[in-house]
Amino acid sequence: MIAELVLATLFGLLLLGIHRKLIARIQRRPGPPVWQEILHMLKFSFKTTWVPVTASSTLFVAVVLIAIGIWTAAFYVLVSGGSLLVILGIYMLHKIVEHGFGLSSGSPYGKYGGVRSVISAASEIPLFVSVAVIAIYTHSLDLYAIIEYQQVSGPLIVAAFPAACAMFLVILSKMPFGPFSIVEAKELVSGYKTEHFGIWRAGLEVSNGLKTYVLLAVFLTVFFGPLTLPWLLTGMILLIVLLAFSCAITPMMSPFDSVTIQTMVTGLMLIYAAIVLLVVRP
Amino acid sequence: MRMKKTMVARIFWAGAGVCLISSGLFFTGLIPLSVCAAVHVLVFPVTVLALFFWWMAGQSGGDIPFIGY
Repeated sequence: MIAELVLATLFGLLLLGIHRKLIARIQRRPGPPVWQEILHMLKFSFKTTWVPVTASSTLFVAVVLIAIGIWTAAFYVLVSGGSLLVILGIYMLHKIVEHGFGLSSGSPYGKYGGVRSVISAASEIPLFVSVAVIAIYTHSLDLYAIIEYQQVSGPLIVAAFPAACAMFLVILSKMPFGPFSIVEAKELVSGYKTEHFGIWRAGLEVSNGLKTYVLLAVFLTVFFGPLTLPWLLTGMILLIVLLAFSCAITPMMSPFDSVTIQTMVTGLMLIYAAIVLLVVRP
Repeated sequence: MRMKKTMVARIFWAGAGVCLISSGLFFTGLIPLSVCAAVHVLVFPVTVLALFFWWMAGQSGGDIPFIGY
């Protein structure tokens, strides 16, 4: 299993590299090679590292370990066909981890990044509604049960297309250079990760690779049903292409606009969930 | 706090060993996936950071500059 975990991390980083390359090509820039994020992780791991004197050293180090740990847990929940609710919980924990990254450093840039991470929690509410719609259709939140439902009734992307759009929006909000990436905005230098450099940043890159792999794999499993490994990997590449186009052609929004749009999407999703509840389970 | 290169190397090898052994035990059916996962959740992050510390630290001096501006 450790081999799968390491390969998933590397593939996630490769997907982030493809994402960066595509954004650059769409914007008529040459862009970095697709394996740049893997090189990035290795580069940071060779840099000199220390803990800033303004930082809370225990939290500063622990938050990197927690970031890798929670996405390792999410990977195993996915592999074991566990509950979607646990993955949702881990996704929420990631918000707390981002906040911890920002606060632990003692840097104002990091702190603002952490605070923005909290206010961008609005992006998670469509995820709750998506999960509720899936539960209405499948009567379960176990990934195995969701896959079995789709084997009988067809992919959920057809039956619950708005829920898929909402979850896509949630994944988009987690992608770098996206319209909702307010936690990493340039006016905050690197946002919550400003002071985490060297080995700490390399650890964060490992966590980002795993996070990207898990989020895309969960999306494909929940909305397309059982996929063999080649189809899963192909689907993830296609999904990252779609995400790259979305990121490349939309500017980064201000925090206020970002939260407003996500709140509006939540409102629409609540209306959709109410309709589904009345029609599917009257 | 200062950490010796040899110490982080030991932490890395111990962590890598625990991860490999737990994977092996899972594949032979001796432990369930949940136990293997719990071990990896706890050990994998420490192993990754220990690996980075190990190959980043120089041979001379021996100590990793771990704190302070």
